Amino acid sequence: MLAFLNGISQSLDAYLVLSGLLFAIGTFGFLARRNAISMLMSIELMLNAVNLAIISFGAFSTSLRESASVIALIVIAAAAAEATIGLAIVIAIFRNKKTPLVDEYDAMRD
Amino acid sequence: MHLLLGTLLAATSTAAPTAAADPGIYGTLIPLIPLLPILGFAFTALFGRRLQARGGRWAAELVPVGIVVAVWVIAMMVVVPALQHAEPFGEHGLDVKLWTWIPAGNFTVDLGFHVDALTAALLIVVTTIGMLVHIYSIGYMAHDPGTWRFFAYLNLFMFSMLVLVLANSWLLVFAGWELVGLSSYSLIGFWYPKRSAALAAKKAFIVNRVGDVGFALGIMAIWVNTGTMNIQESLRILIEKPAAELVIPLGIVALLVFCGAAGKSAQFPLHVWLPDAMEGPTPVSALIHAATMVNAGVYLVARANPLFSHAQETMVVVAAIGIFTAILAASIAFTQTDIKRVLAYSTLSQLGYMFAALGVGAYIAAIFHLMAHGFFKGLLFLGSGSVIHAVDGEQNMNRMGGLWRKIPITHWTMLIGTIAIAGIPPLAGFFSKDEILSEAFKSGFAWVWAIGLVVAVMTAFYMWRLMGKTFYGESHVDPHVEPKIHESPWTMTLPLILLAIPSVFIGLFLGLPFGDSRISQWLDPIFRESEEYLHGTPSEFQLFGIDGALILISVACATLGLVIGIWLFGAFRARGRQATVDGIVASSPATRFLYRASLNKWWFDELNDLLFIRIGGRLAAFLWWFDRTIVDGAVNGIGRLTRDAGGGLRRIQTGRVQNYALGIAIGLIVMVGSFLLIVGQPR
Repeated sequence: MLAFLNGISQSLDAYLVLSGLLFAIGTFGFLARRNAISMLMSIELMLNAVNLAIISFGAFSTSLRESASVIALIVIAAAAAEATIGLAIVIAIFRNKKTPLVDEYDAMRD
Repeated sequence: MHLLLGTLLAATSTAAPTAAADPGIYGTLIPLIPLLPILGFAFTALFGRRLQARGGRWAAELVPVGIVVAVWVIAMMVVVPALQHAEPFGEHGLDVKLWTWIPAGNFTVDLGFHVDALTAALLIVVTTIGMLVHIYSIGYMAHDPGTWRFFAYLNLFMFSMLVLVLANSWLLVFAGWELVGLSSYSLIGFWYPKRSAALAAKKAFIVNRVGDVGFALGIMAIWVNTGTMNIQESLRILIEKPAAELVIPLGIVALLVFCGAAGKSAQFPLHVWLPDAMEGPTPVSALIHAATMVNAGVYLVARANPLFSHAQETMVVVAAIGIFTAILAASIAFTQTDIKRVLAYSTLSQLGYMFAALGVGAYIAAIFHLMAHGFFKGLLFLGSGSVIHAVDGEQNMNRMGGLWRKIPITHWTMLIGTIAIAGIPPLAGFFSKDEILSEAFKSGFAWVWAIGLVVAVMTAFYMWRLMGKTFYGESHVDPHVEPKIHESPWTMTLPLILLAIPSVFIGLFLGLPFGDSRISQWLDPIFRESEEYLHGTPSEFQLFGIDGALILISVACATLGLVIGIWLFGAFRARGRQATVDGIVASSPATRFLYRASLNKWWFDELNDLLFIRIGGRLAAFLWWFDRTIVDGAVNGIGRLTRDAGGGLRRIQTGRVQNYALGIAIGLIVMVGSFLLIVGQPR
């Protein structure tokens, strides 16, 4: 276990950069993809990027270790719930509109 | 209120205050005086049409006429003790409070009546002439399909006028004031399908409004100064309070009240409505526009005499406007050809006399002239109505003439009225007019006296012109009408005779003995303080001194006017000299100008047309434009701006999730970026 830990980077910045990259990819996906399912997946990606950042902080700062784990678990739970509701909505709209493409969804305009 | 009245009466009588304040039977009789006519109005207005359709005119006339006779009887029962200052009236009158009308914190107004000698004097005129005019109208309106409506309005007018005269608070006076205006409007426009009548009614109403605004402001000023609406109380406070403590100076208060009086009594420059008001039926002209309603202004100023006496600048204005109206109206009466219009201008002129009297502080003389004028002018108007009735509705005097033998009762009674108004002793007009003139002279208003004498000559002259053109000389009556000329029915001639009697005797009755006449005994308690404040203790009457000389001068003037009139317009069999009249008019440019000025009423209607219709209309049009463009424009502009801004902003609401998300992302980047740039400078 410790050997595994030794193999990984000892730099916090590396994790944060990774987290930032993941978040940027998620944001790009959310803005650029037209498919509602893909957008939901992008949201998951962003949430996980945030989770990664939280865990990294927890790992490098002893005072945050327990709290970080708890926060990460809560984020995972929230992400799961959000995914459920999001999928449900998407399916409901899909049944109405017969399309998964979000640029056809303009009912909010009026 | 009761406390105050109690102390007031206790000061003047020996009886206990509580006993003195008890109105006894008069507590019932006085409210009945205005109550009966309003009931008559309600009854006739509701059932009159059906009664007239089923039972004929008499059925519809019975209630309103009967009620007015009853009111006259009740009024006389009140008037006689009130004039003699008997208990419970006393010298300062009796207050009958009915109930608290407006209880609103500091502001309470009691609804009640106040009867003193001044009220009583007005009650005599209003109820007597009112009753006679009601009787006269039975004959005069006999051919009109709307008789019931006419009598309903007449009863409404009686109610309004009696409320005005009896009221004990300014607010109630104002209510009566507006009600007489309303009934006057309805009666001038009684023949409303006639366009001129409808217009005249409107004119009377609007011109009166101008004065009423002043009166309303005056009442508010009185309230601001005194905090009470009760007439007696507020007048006492007004004169007792030091001038520095008054919010609004007395002069202005008096001027505002006079505004209202000038409107109702048709004084210059608000005189234009009265001649046009002759479009109404003649009984209305006699009752409202000669004998009662137009006197309301005189009554108002006389009622407010303490206020006016302590505002002497305003008194001069009142005197000047009064005497100016007198001479202006007399000059117009010279050339008018409509018999009723001559009388209307004569009324204006006589009202001007009354205001001149009020202005010089001769209050008793003003009320004396009011009473005398009420009777003889009522007589003259009813007489003119009888003439018009006889010649089948013709009002132009140039198409009358030679009527004196055909309608003798009308002629003789009108002759009495003419001599009375001219001021020949011993008829009514002599006593009252002479008292006004001599009071003016003795109070130092020599200019009022001098103009008044000129007006006296003019009055006698134009009245004889009316008589000459109507009754004497050759007949110019339409040949188709000529054979049908007939004396009026007894319902019309009886009031004429009944009014001729006081026209002859009321002067002798009220005006003698000189110096301590009956009317001054009656009215003295009301005006004593004011007259003493103005003139000090009155001097003894000198029949073989100044007073006798003044009487001689005024009689000479009246006689002069009559003699010129008889010379030019004839009498009985004597022919008039129409050629001489035309010759005088055409003799020089000045006389031609005066003739045209008089004929065109000094162009006051044209002036008003220019000032208020043309210029005022332009101003109103500009204001309308301003309101529409600037005011409405600003409001609508703000509305349009908001709407258009919303419409523009609406475009960015695409409804697409990704656009919103892009906004959030950009916002996040901007926020984080600026945070990093400003706060989180990398170390």
